[in-house]
Amino acid sequence: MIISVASGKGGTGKTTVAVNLALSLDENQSVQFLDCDVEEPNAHFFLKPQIHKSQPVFLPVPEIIEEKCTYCGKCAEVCAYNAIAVLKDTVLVFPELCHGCGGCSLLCPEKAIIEKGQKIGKIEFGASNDIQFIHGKLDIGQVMSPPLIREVKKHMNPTKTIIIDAPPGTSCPVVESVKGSDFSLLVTEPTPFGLNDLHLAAETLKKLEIPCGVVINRSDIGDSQVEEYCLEQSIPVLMTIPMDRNIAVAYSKGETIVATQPDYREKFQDLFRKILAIKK
Amino acid sequence: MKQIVIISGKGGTGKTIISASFASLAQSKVMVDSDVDAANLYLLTPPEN
Repeated sequence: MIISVASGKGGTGKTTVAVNLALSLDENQSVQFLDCDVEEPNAHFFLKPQIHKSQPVFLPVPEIIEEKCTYCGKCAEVCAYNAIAVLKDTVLVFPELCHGCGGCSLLCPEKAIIEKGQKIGKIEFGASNDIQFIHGKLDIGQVMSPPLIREVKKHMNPTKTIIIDAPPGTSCPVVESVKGSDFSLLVTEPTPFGLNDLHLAAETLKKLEIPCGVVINRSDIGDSQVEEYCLEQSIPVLMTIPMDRNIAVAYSKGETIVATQPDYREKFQDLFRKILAIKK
Repeated sequence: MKQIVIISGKGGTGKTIISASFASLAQSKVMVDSDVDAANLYLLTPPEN
């Protein structure tokens, strides 16, 4: 079972929910935790994994062999990302736009394009007690997170219960992270901001045909519009976490909810049971 | 024109609130919400059409 935790809005509590869910399942499940928020991974602050391996990740970007190039422009025509421009007697490559699809080198009629690996970040592997932990870290200045997210997800172990901590937002990095999930949890807050972004995230998941449920964090502040929206859209609200200064204090120290308030283990286990019931 | 960019790294720290607050204090202004994934600024500073 692959469960992704997304939101739309930043700072709603995705990492909090993902981490505490993973820790609550540990007793009865074999868990793998993937932090796919590769621009700013945070889960390691809470899971505190022992990292035993680090691996650089490269994106193949084109390099033109000028002596072979006839400036036919085929590469620019093929590139869906405008990463190549062919001028009268020169070819410009924009590596920051390259998605590493390999189309240009494959289709160059003169075989004038080779692919050079450009480092975009790294993946780290570790363990937090019995939880297998993997996260990606995008290098500062790099813009291509989806290829790094794909690399992280290549290491998914289908024999385990996989929890994916997705990035905020609703575009490519989120789609790459949640793609292929059996179920997605959307973490939100009961405010106009929460509702606005929840709607965007829910629509994204609908297009991807991934069933979802909502966790309302800081549930006793704000208004009832998020709950009303979920009712209207038949999106189940699977858990509510009230505003709790103790949770905020624990979070600020890098401590998990379930470590400081063990009653919450049962609540997260209940969340998991509800997901299983929906998936049956 | 002076440009002030409000960014954070971490989500949910209060970028939109601070942007909207600056906007309400500024005299002659252009507000740009470049959080294209999930733009929120219009909720606090509804544009008049």
